[in-house]
Amino acid sequence: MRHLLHIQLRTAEGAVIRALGLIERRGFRIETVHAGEAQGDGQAMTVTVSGERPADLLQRQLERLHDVLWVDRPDEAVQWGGQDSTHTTTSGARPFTSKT
Amino acid sequence: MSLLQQDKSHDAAPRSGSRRMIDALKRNGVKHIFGYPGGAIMPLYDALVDSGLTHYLCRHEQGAAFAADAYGRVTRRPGVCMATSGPGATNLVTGIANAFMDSVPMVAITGQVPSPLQGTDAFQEVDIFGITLPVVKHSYVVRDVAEIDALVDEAFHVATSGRPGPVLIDFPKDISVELSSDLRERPLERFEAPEPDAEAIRAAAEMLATARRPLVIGGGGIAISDSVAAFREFVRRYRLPVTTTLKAMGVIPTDEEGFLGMLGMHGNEAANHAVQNCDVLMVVGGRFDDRVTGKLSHFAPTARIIHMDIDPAEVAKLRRPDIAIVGELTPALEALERHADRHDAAPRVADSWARQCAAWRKEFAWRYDAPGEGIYAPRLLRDLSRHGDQPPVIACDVGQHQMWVAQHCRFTDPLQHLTSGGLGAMGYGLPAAIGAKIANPDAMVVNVSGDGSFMMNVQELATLKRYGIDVRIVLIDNSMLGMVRQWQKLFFDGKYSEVDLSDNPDFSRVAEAFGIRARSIGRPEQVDDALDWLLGPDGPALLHVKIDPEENVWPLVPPGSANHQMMGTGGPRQFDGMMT
Repeated sequence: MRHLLHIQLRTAEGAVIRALGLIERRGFRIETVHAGEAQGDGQAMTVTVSGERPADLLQRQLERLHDVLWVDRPDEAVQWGGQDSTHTTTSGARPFTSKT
Repeated sequence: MSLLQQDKSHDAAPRSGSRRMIDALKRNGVKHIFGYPGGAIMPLYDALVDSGLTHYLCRHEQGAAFAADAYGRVTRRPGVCMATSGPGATNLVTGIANAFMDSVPMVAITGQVPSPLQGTDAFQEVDIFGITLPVVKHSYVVRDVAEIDALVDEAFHVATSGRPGPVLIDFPKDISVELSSDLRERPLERFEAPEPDAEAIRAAAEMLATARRPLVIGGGGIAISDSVAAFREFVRRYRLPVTTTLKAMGVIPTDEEGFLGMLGMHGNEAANHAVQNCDVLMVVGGRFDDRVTGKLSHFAPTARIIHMDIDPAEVAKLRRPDIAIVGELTPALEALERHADRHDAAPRVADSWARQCAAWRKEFAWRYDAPGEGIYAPRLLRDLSRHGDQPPVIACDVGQHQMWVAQHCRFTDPLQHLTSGGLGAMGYGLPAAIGAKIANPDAMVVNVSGDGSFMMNVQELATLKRYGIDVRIVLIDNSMLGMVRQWQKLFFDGKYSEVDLSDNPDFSRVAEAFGIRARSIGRPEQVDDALDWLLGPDGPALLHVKIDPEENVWPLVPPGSANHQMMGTGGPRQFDGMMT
């Protein structure tokens, strides 16, 4: 399954490679990458990935990185509990609440 | 605005990068450092002299990293280790990975070749920043002497906040000698744990209130977040049956009535049968490790899951929960209690389930009447942990003895049990015991090791001797890589491959060569006296215990099997709900 990710990063040594390395290590194939300066501060990266594992989990794993400010999956609704669960009730709070 | 464009302010007097590093460590509360000097980190070692910091020279960088790991577990503040560039840095990697896997706060500082030489394959140059990317919570290369103060502050915050972990600071030599009075701030975004979500709390409380066969798994996060008191209050108040993961041994005293023992591959059958038969499973600060779950698709097949964790990336990683509560554990547990009080909705344990759990606990209580004439290691370990009023702190290595420690030792606090859980790194025990003793000098600290593991960091006996660190050692010697031999016996048709250690050195003489008292035993009637000797008033000592090479760890969930399919047992059990 293919997923599109927008990743907003701090401008920091290793930020891009750390995020890309995580994507592969967590079981996804990177198909396309476009990286550049973000509007305002930091760096922005658009990545197309494919893999069988849940993309919402990959998003949370990326957001855990210190240099990742936020991740957006524009093609998919963000679901914490997963697509196949109707009982899921979770905190919607982000771990780094001071990030905007 | 990029970092380089930020305003610089000025410090009073110029300081070298190394002096700044030392000052920043002290400002962050560091008192002890474990390390090993070398070329690229010499300026930092120069600044260390007369700094007021106490440095412990370990005899291999891996030992320094493991000591820092245990120090971090015990103090809940980052253990600090440092090494030079190249081989010094690569030798730290296993210890850093260990801290990463077990969520331990650590700050590792590595020397680096001067910036102009980086990328030229200079002497002792290695890209330790790149090598450690997958096993650190975060990492830095210091590029500007003016940012050291703020960078170190940030490193300590990152290492300790939320889910803790190791942070690497790579420190090029030219920066470490540069004098400057400039100070550059870094915008530090402080981690703020989310409040427990009210809707999730309500749903979890209702699920527990309507349960009949609830079970709680205590995980390593309970000790990390200092939530032991809240956890005990919660499970005791509602008399919930409890099992724990390896890392959480001691979050509930192991002798307590509602405790079913560790679960998983070498868990107690009572715990595994309870998991396989419960209807609501509440996992507190655990991560569904494969050694815990067995065959994942068959794990807790009849249970709805409540998963509590500070790390949102652990939610639905392996088992999708019905309810996830993301945040600090203590406020979440307290919120659950408050909701139960207000709505008269206390968690329920059906009488028949409580009786069933108690019956399993009794049926599968460990037995110590093993046949054979040699020393039975589980019995010795049981006696070791019951020798004094308080159980000792046990830092163990990895292998059969590690599982016997978890199965048979008494723990009344999770910090009494230091083990390499996620990484499973042989050689952890001795340096970990050193770190634990320095962190908690009043505790009796015992390293329980095996003959395979012990040889992986045997050089740390010199550290023990040099600083007079009072660690006691029990070396359980079956002249085998016992766990590998057991698996080869069971799953590789008994074809042994490279597990024979019958040419081990004389461990007593090895210890004595390092200046450590030692004694060797091999018969059961020697055990009581030997434990009195080992745990007596005379300081560091090694007790070498010869055991039967064919001894196995039972029970065992074979790889790929469900937790109720344990070998060395009476077979699966099913709760029929009809117990009287």
